[in-house]
Amino acid sequence: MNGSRSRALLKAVLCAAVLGAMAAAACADTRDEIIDRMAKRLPQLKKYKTEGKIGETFNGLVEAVKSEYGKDKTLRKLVANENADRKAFYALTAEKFETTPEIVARSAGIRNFKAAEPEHWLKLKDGTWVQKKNLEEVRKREDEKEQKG
Amino acid sequence: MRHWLLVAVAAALLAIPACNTSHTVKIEPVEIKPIYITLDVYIKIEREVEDFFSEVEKRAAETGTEGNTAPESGEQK
Repeated sequence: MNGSRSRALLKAVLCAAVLGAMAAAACADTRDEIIDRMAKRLPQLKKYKTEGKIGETFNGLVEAVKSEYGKDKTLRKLVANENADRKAFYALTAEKFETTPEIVARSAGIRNFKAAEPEHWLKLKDGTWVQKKNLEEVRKREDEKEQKG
Repeated sequence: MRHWLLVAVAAALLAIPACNTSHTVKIEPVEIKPIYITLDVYIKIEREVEDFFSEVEKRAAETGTEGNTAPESGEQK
């Protein structure tokens, strides 16, 4: 009696584990799927970036440069979807290299700052928005301030 | 007299090893390995991130979505 009960319990646990694994596999986005969605979104994202409405942030995400631009529903959705995909990629990569998504996100932030066009807007760690073409000047000013202080 | 001399010489001979002192200084080995591992991981992450965004750009160009600015349709997931 006891033996059959424990066998049944074991079966139930195994079934739950298999179903859980299947569900997780079905829900988890693969790197390829994320790339596909981001590739489809890229032209529109670039358009908004060129218009100065969306910018890259230091932590590898995108954001509306001014809060008023967030009133545009299309822009808002674009930002939300792009960030959801980026976050999914950062989580996947963090898992792969046994690190945190924040570290991957910072690395992406540095990469995207470098890849930005001169007219694109970048959000620095202190929350200020700077155009890429003025980034060096701003950093020099900050360095001078630090040296004086 | 000779007896005292012998004792003094013997005592002097016995005292010689006491002059020989040795000191062992133990130096802890400098651990460099973890730093290399951390750097290696950061470089790999950097490469993975670069590959990912390059792949996004490449696929966008391949599928001809570059320049096509169709509005974003609804929330995903």
